[in-house]
Amino acid sequence: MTALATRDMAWRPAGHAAPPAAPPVVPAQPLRVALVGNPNCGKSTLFNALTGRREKVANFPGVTVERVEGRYEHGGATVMVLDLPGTYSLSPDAPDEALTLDVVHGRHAGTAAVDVFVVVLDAENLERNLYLATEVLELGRPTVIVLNRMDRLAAAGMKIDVFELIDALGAVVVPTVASTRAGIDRLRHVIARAPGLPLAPVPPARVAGAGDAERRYGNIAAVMRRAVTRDGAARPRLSDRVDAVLLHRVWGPVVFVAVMAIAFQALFTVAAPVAALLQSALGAVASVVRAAMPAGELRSLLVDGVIGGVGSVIVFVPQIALLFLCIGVLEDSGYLSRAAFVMDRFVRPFGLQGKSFIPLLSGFACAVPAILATRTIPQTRERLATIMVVPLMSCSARLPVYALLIAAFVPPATVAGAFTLQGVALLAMYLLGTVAALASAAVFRRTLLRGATRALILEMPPYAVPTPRVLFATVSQRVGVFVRRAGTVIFAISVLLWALGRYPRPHEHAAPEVQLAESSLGRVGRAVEPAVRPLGLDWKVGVAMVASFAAREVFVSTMATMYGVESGDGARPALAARLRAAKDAAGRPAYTIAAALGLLAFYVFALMCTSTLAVTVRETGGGWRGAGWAALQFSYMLALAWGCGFLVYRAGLALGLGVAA
Amino acid sequence: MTPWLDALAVGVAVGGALLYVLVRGLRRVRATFRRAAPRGPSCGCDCAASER
Repeated sequence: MTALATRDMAWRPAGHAAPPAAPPVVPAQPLRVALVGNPNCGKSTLFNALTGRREKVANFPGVTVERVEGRYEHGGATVMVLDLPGTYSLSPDAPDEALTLDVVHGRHAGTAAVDVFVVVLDAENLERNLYLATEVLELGRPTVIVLNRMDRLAAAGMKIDVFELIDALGAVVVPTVASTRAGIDRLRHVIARAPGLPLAPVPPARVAGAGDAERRYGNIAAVMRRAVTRDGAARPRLSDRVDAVLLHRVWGPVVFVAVMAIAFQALFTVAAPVAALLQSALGAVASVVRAAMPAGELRSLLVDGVIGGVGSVIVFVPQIALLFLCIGVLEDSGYLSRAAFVMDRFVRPFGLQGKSFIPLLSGFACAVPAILATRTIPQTRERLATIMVVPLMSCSARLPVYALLIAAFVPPATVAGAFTLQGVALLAMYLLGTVAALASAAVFRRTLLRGATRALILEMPPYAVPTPRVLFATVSQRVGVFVRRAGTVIFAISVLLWALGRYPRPHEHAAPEVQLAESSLGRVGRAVEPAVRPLGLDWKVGVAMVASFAAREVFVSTMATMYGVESGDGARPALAARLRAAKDAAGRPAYTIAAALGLLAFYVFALMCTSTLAVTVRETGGGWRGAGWAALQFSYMLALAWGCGFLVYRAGLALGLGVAA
Repeated sequence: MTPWLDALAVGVAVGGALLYVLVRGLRRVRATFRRAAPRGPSCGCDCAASER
C-alpha cells in the first residue's frame, strides 16, 4: 500500500499517465514544510523555486546559516517553507547544524512544529545524502524525498530507478532540477498531499549509538544496490582534471593569486569609463540645479551637500557591481571551496583552518554575512578567532575610499604588461588586510583563544558555469543595498555634515576656506587634528575619518562636501583631482604620497562599521559578553590602524615619498 | 525664494536628517542587545540521536 501510494505520486516517464491521486489535504492552518539536506545539495535553490523568493544561493557548502522562511499558495492552501542550514546528520557538529536539529525536533524558540519534512538529496551524491534521509524517515513524520540535480546523472555515468528507490525507502520520491524549476509543480502537488500519506516503516527495535549508524549504512548500501546503476568503470571527470591543476601544491596558490590580481585590475580598468560617465552626469545635474535656483542656503545644501556628498559615493556603483560580479563568479563556479582547500595549508600555521577561509573570503563583500558564515566552523575558539579577524578583510564599503585615494595619489603607470600600478596598489590593500587577518588570528589563537586546530573536511562542489540569473540577482541585490545606503544614511550624514561645515558663519564675506575652518566642522577638525597630524594628515581628513565611523563610504562624501565638489571634468573623478591639488595654509601640498599611503593603511585596518560591531555582539554570545568581544575587536583594530598608518607614513617619508602626487 | 523660506527648507532638511540618524542609531543599539545569541556547538557525540 505504501509503495503504491507513493509510486503514484512520483515522477513517471513520458507516456505513462498517472493514476488518480489522493485529494490534497487542505488544513485550516498553513502547512509548515521544512527543507533539510546535506550542505550544497540545492536546498536554497529549491526554496527559491518553490516560493519565488531570491535568497542567496551559491556553489559551496554553508551558504545558508540561518533559518529562512517563505510561503506559496497551492490548491487554496498556504504552505510555509523553512529553508534550513545544511547538515550531514541529525548529530550537530557546528552552530548552523544545531539550528537545523532544533527545528527538526520542534525545540527551536519561535518556530512552530513542522508538518512535512522535505529531504533534499543531491542525486549525484545519493549514497552520502541518504544517511540524513534515513534519519529523518526514522522520525516517523510525513516526509517527502526530493531527488535534486537529476540533470547531472548522465555526466556522472549514473542511473537511478526512482520506483526502486520509492520501494526501498518506503517514501514518496520526487525528482527535480531546482535550478531550471523542473519537477517543482509536481513537488508542490505532493507536499500538499503529504500529511495524508502512509509513513515510512520505522525500525522496530532501535538501539541508539554506534550500532544505529552501522544499521543505517547497511540499509543505504541495500538501497543503492536496488536503485542505482553505473555505466562501466568510473572515468576521470573533467572536474577531476581541472582539480588536478587548481588543487595542485604549486599551481593551486599561483592560480589563486592570479585570479585575485585579474579581479582587482578589472575593478579599475573595466569600471573606470562607466564611473567617468556617472561623474559627468552628476556634474550636469549640479549645473542644472545651480542654474535653476537662486544663490542661497538651499542651493548650497543641494549642490555641495546632497549632490556633492551622495554623488561622490554613487560614482562607485560600477566598481561595487563589478566586485560582486567577481565574487559571484567565484562562488557559483565552485572555485571558492577549492580556494579554501588550497589556502588551508597557508592558514593552518596561523591557528585557522580552510573552513575559516570561506568566511574570510566572504569578508571581501561584507563583514556581516561573513561573520554569520563562521557558524559553519565547529570549534568555538576557531570560530571566535575568525569572527575577530574577519573585519580586517577589505569589504566593499572600503572600495570607494581605496579607489578615491589610489586614483588621486597612485599614478596609472603600466606594470608587467596588462596591469597598472593602480590595480596593483588595490590588490596590495586586499593582501595587506588578508595578511593582517591571519597574523591577528595567530595572536588570538596563541593567547585568548588557545587550542588545537581541527583537520579540514570540506566538500568539493562540482564545477558549474555561473548562472546569469543568479549572478544578476546577487549583483543587483548588493548594488541595491549600496544605493539604498547612499540614499538614506549617507544622504542624512551628508546633510548634517554640510550644516556643520556651513554654520556658524561669523564672517559673511570671508573666503570659503576661512568660513569652513571657523564652522562647527572646522572646530571639531581642530580638536581631532593632534590625533591625525602624526600621520601627515590635516584636520579635514581628521573630520572625514571621525564621520566615517558611521559608515566607511562617508569618508568620501565628507571630503566631497568639504571641498564643495559639484562638477566633474569627465576624465577622472573630480574629488581625486581636488585632493591632489589641495594646498595647506603655507601653500605646500596638503597631502603627500606618503600621507595618502598611511591613510590607505589606516582604512585597511580600522573597524568603522556599526553593523559589524552589532553582529559581533550577537554572534559572540550577546549581552555584555558579546559587547566585550566587540569592544576588543574595535580597539585592537583601531590601534592597529593608527600604528600601521604611522609606520607607513614614516616609511614613505624615508623613501622620499613626502611629495605631492 | 525669500530668505526665510530658504532657511525653513534647510532647517527641515537638517532636522529631518538629524532625526533619521538618531532614530536609526537607537534602533541599532536596541536590536543588538535584544536578540538572543545562537546556540553554541554541541559536544559532538551522538547524544542528540539518543534523545529520540
